[in-house]
Amino acid sequence: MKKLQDKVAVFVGGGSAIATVALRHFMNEGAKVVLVDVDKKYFTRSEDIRAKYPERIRTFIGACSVQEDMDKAMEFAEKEFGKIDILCNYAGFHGGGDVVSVQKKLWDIAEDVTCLGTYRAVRAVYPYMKKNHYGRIMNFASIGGRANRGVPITYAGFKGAAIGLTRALALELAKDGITVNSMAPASIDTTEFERIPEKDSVPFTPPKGALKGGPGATRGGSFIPGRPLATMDEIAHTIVFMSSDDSAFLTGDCLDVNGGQFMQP
Amino acid sequence: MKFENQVAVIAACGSQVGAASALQHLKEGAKVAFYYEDDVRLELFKDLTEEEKSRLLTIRIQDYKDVEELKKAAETVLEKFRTCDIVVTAITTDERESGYSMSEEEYDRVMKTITNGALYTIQPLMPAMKEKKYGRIVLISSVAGRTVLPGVAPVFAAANAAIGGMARNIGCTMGTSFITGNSVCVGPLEDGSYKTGAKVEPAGIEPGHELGRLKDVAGAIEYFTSPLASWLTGETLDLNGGYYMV
Repeated sequence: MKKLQDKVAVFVGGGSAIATVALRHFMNEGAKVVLVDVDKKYFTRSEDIRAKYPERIRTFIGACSVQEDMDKAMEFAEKEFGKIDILCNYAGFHGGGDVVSVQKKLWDIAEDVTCLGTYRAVRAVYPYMKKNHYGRIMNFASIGGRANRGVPITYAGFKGAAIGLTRALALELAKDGITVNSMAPASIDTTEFERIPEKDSVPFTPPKGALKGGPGATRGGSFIPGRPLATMDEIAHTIVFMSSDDSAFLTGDCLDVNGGQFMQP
Repeated sequence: MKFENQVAVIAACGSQVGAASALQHLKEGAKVAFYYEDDVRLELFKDLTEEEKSRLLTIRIQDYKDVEELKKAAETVLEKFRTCDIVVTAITTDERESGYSMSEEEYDRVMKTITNGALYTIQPLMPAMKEKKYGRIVLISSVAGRTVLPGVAPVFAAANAAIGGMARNIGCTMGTSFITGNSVCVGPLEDGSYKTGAKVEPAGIEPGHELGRLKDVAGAIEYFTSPLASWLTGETLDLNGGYYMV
């Protein structure tokens, strides 16, 4: 039985590597998807999938940093496919720096994209989900915002904020049949796709003596031998679960996908 | 089908969750060994097709505290199916005495049914999973072991907290054999099971969906038992409709 048969999803940050692999899984599970991203170059990753399922995939250019773009993206999705059941927020921004060295500009962008971007997308989609008394919202956070991981303060702060925002939204939207959950993966193998550098982000250099980011930073690696990284298919498996009716009683939760690197007690 | 050629051992006690999960695994092609303590657990299987029945082995367990009985059950499973890929323990029991007035005998019964029952179910099946270097273990526990709920019997809170600890420990220690261990932590369910005994029972926050449904739990179990769940381990999934969010 297909988990997402005839469901309509909007992927914000839909040109990312993860969103592209999730798109493949959503197609296999019977969904229709609108990909939203800031530049059409991000959609080249999904060219093959879009060619295979032209009737079930649309693209839309828009930024989660602009409320009007999010409003128009949701209007477009409803017009194309008649409803919206699922919103997956993938957009994020690493930024750079630590508590002393962080630049205000990077702090502001991370806040605007990683946290406020999610808020804008949810605000835009809410009327469409409310009228059908149904919704699944997935916010793509990170172990960097969940545990003791050496990442830029811009990333740790606003991925953490996205997890907190998820809980607040879950409480607010439950009355309308909408569940809101986040997920916190550790490092993922994205080498299937060519990396598109994030504009303005800078490489993170931890202060002397601090833990570095990347696999193993929290306790020495995952508990699965030879598996320091998640595959994108494993991540997509979690996204499908959070988007399906199987997760109807799950809301406000943050799913850890990390090979055991961080086990919430 | 997702679980074709896989063998799932599902232990049920005090709830229909195990039966719901067994049904889901059967529908997805698995061979299922179903442990049960009461004939009422078999009710969900009455509409199975003949082909599905041919993939189901049911084993009555008189006492989940009896290590020898569960060893024999595992032998029966391995004799029939030759291997094991998935183990799910959905073992709970209601307290017959309340809170702090509970006798030591009753404390012992509740604690051992929940914790030893899970351990004794899993333990004799581990060699088969270690040998094939594959395994998915899911333990069902209660929100009573996860957060403070006034009125809950201490033993029920403690036993269910232990289940979460066991899942993390299995995740840590069995990863070398590519065996994952996770827990699904539920609140009160629609079949009347997994009530916590709290003064105010935990409830989901969506109007009309205050109690967990059996299919909610079966879906969460399937999330962890899937082949693609290979990088999920040591996790506790708080499946309570938003009552408790972590």
